[in-house]
Amino acid sequence: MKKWLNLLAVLGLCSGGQTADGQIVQRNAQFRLAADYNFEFYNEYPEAARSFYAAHFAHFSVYEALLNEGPDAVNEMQRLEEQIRYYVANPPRLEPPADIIAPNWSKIAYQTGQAMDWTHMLHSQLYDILADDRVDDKKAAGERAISYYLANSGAAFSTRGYGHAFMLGGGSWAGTFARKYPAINGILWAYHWHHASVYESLMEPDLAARRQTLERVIRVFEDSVLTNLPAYMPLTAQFAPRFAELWPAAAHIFDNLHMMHDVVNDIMADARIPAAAKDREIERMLQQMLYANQEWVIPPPPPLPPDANMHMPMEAMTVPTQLPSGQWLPQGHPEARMQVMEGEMPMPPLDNNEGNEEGEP
Amino acid sequence: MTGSAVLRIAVLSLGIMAPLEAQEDFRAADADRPIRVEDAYPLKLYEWEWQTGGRAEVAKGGDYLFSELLELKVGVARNWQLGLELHGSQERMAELWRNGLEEFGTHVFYNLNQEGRRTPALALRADIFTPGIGDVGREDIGARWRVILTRSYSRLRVHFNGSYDWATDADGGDLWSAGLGFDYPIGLFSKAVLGDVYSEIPVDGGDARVWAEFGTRFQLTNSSVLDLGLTSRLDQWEDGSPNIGIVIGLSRVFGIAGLVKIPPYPNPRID
Repeated sequence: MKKWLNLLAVLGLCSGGQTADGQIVQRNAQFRLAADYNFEFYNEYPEAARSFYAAHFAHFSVYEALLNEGPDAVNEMQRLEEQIRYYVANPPRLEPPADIIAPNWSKIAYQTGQAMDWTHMLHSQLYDILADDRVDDKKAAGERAISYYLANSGAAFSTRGYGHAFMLGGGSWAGTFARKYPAINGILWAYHWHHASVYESLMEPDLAARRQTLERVIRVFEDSVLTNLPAYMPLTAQFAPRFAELWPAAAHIFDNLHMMHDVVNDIMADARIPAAAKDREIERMLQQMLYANQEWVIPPPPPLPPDANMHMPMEAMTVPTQLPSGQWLPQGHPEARMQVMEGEMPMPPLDNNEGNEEGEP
Repeated sequence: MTGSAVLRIAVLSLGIMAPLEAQEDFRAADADRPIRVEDAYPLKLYEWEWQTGGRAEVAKGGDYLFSELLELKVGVARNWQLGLELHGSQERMAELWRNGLEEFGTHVFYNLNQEGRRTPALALRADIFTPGIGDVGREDIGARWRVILTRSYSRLRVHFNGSYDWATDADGGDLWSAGLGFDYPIGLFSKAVLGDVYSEIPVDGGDARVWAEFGTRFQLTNSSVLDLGLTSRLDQWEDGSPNIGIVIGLSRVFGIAGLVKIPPYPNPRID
């Protein structure tokens, strides 16, 4: 048996599905958790479910465009923005899989795409649990889904509250995409608001109120949020405080997924990173944001002004907070404690400050 | 098969489409659903799938062949798939009817790697076939080794299958087979078109059999796919008259909660 496995490994190596480091990349796909609530959100609220399809298209088509056209794809991004806005108004009947939107990018960053897809699966299952009134103990059902998600640790994002750390301080590429393509970047951030707001709508215990709130969220998203785009990446707990209290780990998982989407945008849009090196940088960042590695990862400190994102409201700078009851409030929750006030903001290296005081670069 | 019959089946098939939701299964090129060539990707871990389908071919002179497939597959481990198949058929040759269960099959499928930047995905598949029941049933045990490659060019995926079949003389003897196929998704509509050319060459030097096939797969629901295709036996065209058949099938993926071990909630750190 071992002899056969060795032969298979050699054949796999020869077939060349490997990373830049020479490791074989295997598919390792895992099916969603089997449960009666699956697809209940789509069945009950199809308009809300379909409203996310344009976001899915937007994320992956941006990656594909920046890979195929290069980091300076201004015309392509304008065309893409029109296409995304078309799909916002006319979403596909079914959610398109990532590998038909970004076939080339999926080849260079398969593991990152897989982690994103796996987390989209958790997104769906938590929507389904909240939408299904047959589920009596929603907290327990959600924790079971999160356990299943985390057990696939190579594709699960961290449960720690990294906030905006990696997208602001993960590398010299930080902020590149938002600076080069503010319009399309704003649409993606708007979708992060939308994700959280839909969760919060589904927290309404009464069915009629749930429907009413969901409809209002969709209208606000289309009529207001998409016309006055967010100036920073919203955190889940800011706009879904009840959802985030119920499953604080999930709130952080989704924030880390959203941050990884931004990180990939930045790496793909940064012309200083050669095309052949982008996959390595994406993989490096993925490893830092995975659940499997969260015990040893130290997130980067936020940058000092003027690089810091000055648009952040106060609640976006809160830190995970444990209440006397033992319950956790995740980062971004309006009632969580402040980073600065509690001394949680890591201090910048001394030599930076000294250099500035001397007026030297 | 007459043109009106093909059209009737196609219209009936389209009639059961419903506006449900998306999955990616419409893109899986499974063997015989509707083309013979398959892709190099197995089911996901814990994913189950049953599929059923039929292939109807009418040759010049009124000879008739209808073959059916019933298959159950499961992703038993990461990148590993096991499957059980039942093949049945009815045929009328020279006004003689024969029917029965052609064979029972079981397969193991292993995907070695995900497609890379420059190189294809590779999979190996082994099948064992046991004798069937009735007039058309296989006489002896047989086996097949298959190598499968999948390579994509933007949204177009190309698949190569190469196989060797071991069979006794009573079952037609050993044969080589090879096929080249493709699939291409249509927009964002969860539909794909597929096609292939497939050939079987008897090792003892008999005539090669060659098929050309074209079809489509529709995602009907979040977990069901309808496939529909046309097949033509190129080596049996007579006087320019094509020998055309129709392929139709349905597949559905599902999970079995009781068979999945879920660890207790780990209360993960969030600070």
